[in-house]
Amino acid sequence: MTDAPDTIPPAGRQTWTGRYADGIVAVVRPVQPRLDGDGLRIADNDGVELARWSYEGLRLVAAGAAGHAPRLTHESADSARLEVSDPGFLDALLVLAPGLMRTGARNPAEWRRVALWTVLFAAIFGGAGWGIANSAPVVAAMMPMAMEDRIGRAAIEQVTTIFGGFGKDRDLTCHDDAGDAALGALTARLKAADESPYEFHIRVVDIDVPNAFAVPGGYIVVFRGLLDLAETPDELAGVLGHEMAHVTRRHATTNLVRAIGLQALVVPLISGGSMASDVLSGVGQLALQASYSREAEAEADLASVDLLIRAGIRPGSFTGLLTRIETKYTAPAPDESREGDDETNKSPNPMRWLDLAIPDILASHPATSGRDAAVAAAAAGHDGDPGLSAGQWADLRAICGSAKPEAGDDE
Amino acid sequence: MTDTTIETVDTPAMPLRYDGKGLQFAGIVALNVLLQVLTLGIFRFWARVRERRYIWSHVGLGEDRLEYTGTGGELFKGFLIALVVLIPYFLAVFGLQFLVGQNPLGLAIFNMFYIPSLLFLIYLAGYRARRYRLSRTLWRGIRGTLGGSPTRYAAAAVGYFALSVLSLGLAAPYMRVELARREIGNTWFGDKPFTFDGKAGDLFRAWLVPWLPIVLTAAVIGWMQWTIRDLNPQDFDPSDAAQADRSRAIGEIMPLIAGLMLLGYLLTALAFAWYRVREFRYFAAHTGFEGMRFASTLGVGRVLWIYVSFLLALIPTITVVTLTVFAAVLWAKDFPMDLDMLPYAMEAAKDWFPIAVTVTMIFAIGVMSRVLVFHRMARAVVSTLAIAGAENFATVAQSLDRAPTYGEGLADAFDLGDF
Repeated sequence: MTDAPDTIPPAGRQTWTGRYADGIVAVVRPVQPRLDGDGLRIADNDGVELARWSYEGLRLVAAGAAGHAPRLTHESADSARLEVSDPGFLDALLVLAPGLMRTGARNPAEWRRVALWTVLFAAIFGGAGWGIANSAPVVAAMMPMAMEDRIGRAAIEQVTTIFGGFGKDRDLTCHDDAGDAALGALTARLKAADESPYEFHIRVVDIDVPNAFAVPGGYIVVFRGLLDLAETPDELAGVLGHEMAHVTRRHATTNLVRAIGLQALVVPLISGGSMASDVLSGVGQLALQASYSREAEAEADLASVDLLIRAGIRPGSFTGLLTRIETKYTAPAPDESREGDDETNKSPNPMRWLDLAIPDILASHPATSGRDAAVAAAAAGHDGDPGLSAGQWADLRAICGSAKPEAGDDE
Repeated sequence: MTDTTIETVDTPAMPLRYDGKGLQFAGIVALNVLLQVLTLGIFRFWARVRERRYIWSHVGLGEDRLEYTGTGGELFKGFLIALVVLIPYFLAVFGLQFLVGQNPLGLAIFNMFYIPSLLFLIYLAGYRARRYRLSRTLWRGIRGTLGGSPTRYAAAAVGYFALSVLSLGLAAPYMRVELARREIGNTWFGDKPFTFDGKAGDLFRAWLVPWLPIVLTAAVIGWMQWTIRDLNPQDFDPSDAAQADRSRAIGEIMPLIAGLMLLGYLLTALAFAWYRVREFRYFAAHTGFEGMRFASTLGVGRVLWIYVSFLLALIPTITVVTLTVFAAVLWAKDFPMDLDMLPYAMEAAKDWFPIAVTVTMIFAIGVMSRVLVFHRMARAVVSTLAIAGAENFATVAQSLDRAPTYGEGLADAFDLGDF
């Protein structure tokens, strides 16, 4: 320590003890770092200077955990490390290098970076998702009808399997000569007014849920529960027109294309074992599909009115059927306002909590979403016949055997 | 510990230490989860760095601790780059899958391309992630390096995998050892390589221990499938005497089949854990560096206890989480907290309860598995590892190879874990 003149610590300067790796050789040696006016001087125990680190380029390694000796590095030697376990060293150093603590997790710049990446990421993925979602109709429009037909048939087969158990003989499709004839007559009238090249294959299945759906290629399924709730044939015709519009406008096909596209975007995103993004993207996807489905429902509503006008059937009455379904399935509780303290409020209506399987056809509430108002506006000034004679209507309603008398059961 | 141990060396072994605390690590994980929620999951890259910094810095060899120098930004960049590959890949896969539909021939052709390509990507991802992690691991100021070609490694892995399948799993140790040879043999610390001299033959007998229960369990499953091959509950007719006899016979044999299956699963899990521990010790014993050798005394009991205690801890957690979420959903819906209404509570909560409980459970189990399995496993593996032989690090100099500037994108997408 006495050989080199500048190793003699001047008054007020202190030499500490530490361990130093130069980042060149895998050797850690004991050193005596010293806080000079122009920087941190690292010398070995013989006083030989190993490095001189400017205070500006000094960095505190964020890897050090609580209780570990502070570990320093310098921008001039990225892999070099200096560890000083003397208590008080860090405080003394911070006087000379006040910006030192602003590294790693303590560095506001690091958090700004995280925030920036988050925004950028959301923008990129939002943009990509938006692009995929919006190009889906274009891709769906380019799909050959033969392929749509294949998809539709496969989907129908699957649905029949789900509803009908596993045996082929458990097909729940209702067949009855008179009923088939009535359904055929109604389908033919609607088809005659339709300008699309699609053939429609409509079937009634014996399931007590008021619902109907369409799959690509013109396959439409009506559940018996819907027939039971329909009061007039034009109500049913309106629902059929609505489902036909889903087919001709390729709504289901578009949904499928969109789902595939979004899946490809989301799978690499969520499979990173990140719990949060997993859940969030799932919810986001559902919400996205739902928003498109509301749009599609509104479009199909208006198309149905159009089709019925052209077919000479009274248009627009099917929103009454939708409202009836909704009323049945979301029975409002008598204790609508909780402020009132009537006797009736003492026994809350369990029905309010039993919103059993709200049918898909009610993708949005007809009344609150303005669906029924839009339909009424489009249908205003147009009238027509009910679409089927009273006899045919009775036959159709009995296609699965005897009809249920619920339809007349008005609220 | 017979054929896998090395001869005792006269120089004292240099043990690795792990002195991280489960509670401290739990704090890191919990904050990570919270921040991931707030940042739509983007924080996961920084979260991973926070975890690794903690674990690395609590691994000590000699007087010096490891240091993890990776950053969240690098991981994120790697992820974005991986997406450029993965989005078109998955788009093609989903599109093709959809076009093929249920056509058996089409499905077979599709799988012939899909399975190897996915495996290739997964192994490629694993190798590249290893390269990044090594390059961000510092000890005594020197970082690690992984040489070799990731694509050649991945292609070889697909080949070995095919071989394993064709040999009904018997060639699996061959795959494991050959991949380890490429992984360890290409690993460098500074400018000096690790060596690996394991042979698949040494592990073959050990591999039979899990292989047999796997085959036996598969056989029991096959037996069950055969027993119920043409059974269709829809067609069941209790008045048919032959059918009734058959169903009674099946009813008598089913408990035996179910018991055998349960036994098979249990044995397979135990035997598999035993094999993996033994394999790990074997790999350690055949890994050398500059005349030194690794040695692991990891015990299978310790590894099993980590998993068993995690499963035991899950039971109270699931109960508490379920009940809490259920109550919270009812409370949020303003459901009357009234004993008379209890029978309707399930119905009332059913729209939000499943998603709420799933989300909460994912978070709770995520935190628990990181703390109770991942962190404890790290401790078990590290603290039973030692380096034997004369300490010989002084000749090691920093490698002049360029380290990768971003990391792990593909591995992140495939969730390949941390080690």
